[in-house]
Amino acid sequence: MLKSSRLKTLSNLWFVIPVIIIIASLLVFPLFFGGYLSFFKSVFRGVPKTFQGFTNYVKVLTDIDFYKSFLRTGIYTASAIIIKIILGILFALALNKKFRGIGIFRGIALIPWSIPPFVVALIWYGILDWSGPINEILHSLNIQTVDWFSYDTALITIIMINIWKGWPFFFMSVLSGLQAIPDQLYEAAEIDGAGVWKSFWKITLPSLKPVILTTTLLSTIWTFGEFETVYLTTAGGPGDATRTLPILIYETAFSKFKLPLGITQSILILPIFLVAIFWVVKLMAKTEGDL
Amino acid sequence: MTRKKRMKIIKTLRIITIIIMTLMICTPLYWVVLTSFKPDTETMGDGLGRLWSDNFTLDNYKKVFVYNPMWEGYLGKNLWPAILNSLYISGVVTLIAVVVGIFAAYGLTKFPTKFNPSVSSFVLFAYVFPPFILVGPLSILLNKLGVLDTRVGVILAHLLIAVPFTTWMMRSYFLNIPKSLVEAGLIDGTTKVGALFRIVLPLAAPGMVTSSVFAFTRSWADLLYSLVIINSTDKMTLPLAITMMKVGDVYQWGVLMTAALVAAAPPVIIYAILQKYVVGGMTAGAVKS
Repeated sequence: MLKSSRLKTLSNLWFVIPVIIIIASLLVFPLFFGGYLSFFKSVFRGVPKTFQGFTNYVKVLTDIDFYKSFLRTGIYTASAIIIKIILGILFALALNKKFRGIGIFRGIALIPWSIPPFVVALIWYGILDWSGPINEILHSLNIQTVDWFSYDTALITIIMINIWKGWPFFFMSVLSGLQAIPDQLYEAAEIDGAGVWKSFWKITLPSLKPVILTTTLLSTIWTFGEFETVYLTTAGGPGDATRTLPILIYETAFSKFKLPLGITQSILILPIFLVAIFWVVKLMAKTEGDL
Repeated sequence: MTRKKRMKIIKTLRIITIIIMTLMICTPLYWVVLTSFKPDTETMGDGLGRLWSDNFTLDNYKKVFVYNPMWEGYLGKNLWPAILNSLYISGVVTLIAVVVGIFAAYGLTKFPTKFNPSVSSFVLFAYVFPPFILVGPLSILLNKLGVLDTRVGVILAHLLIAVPFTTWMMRSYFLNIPKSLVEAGLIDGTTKVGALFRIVLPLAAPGMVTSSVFAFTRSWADLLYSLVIINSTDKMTLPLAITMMKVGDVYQWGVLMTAALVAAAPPVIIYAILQKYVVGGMTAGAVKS
């Protein structure tokens, strides 16, 4: 009896084995392999050279640029996310009620999100060019033109680009969240004399809380790890103005050819990601019901 | 304030918000499309920002698809090789990711074992995991396997991005298909795989379309892994080739924006057509439907 149930488990597992193998060999194994490599000085043709213990860890943890980059990525992520949430909710509320032609506008809202990130970066690099259309418009309105990629402005600029591309993700989640709120709740509130403003704070926002939390966590993880939009606009510059962690890691590993050092940097930021990832996995598993 | 008056104010605010949103999205895109039809003389220097042109031309499209002398020696004659490389890589990635995803989702939703919850969480973990963390060790492993600077190398790396995603998405589609349908099929003597193809898949067609689209576009859009894996010109993906166009201090803005449009067109068009499915699919697992 026991044997047959084991056999059954085994035969049922066949279906999931390919996905386990793929994730194990492309994610889990590289992760541990990276941990191993972080103890070496260099890697030559795939072979690690010169074991040096925790030297790389000491190097990264005593490097002020690492902390600066960390803080910068935090600012970038936090400010982008807050505005993405606000825009997502605002536009979802505006497009919640059905009217003729609503499909077109909901479709338009999807466009920024469906354009590949590297294309978004290039487009905005052109639009914000010194002689690009934004400065042209400012000039024609007799407003001082702006160098959008200077040391003082570049971080704000890449935050704006990230927002332009990223808010539809919140828009879509919030929109499906809004549609799940029963109309009766609003009707009841109206009978009780609650105005639009009050129903928004008392009904809409609380009902959206789970959706917004999950979407915010996902977006935080992905915004923190965003590489393309920064790489293709400022590439981290000017100076270190926009050197976020993904850019720092890429530079260390592939421009300065210090692969183990770059890997050590990614390992050191991993715990923060893991906390966020486990949290969101727990939340999403709960919404999905029986795992 | 009367109720009627309040409703009117809200309606006006709603319309204003929608107009702002539309302008925010469409104005930049208008400029990109416009620039792709401008002659070089109007995109070098001060003409770049002008919101109209008096000399529309197809020159930039000819340069992208037929011949651009500026690329001779470092990018080749035109963008076709890069487009075909990207189509090939994203095509193979999509095929593998969807097939693997279907089988895994089938097992996870229809044949429970005590391991299923852990496997589901494992897949979800991989889906949420930011791929840039692994770029170092993965590039070394691909080097060891001898697939650095090959399309196979990029395909392997993209599987990491695509497979957890398709699996998780197919899983939420399969959850809506009653287990009893499969059980009935099995009692009638169909094999498990037979029940998958005859009973489950026909019902999950929208899920297959959506996950294919997502797998394809995620692979199509990736720059980081091609950047790290590919060196040779003839193996460049489209994102990599376009990135290479952005060298020096003076850009061929017309050509650059045309190429950007060419890269953006497939996902934008596909998502526009499949809008209804995409919205449901993208929030799968994040939002209860």
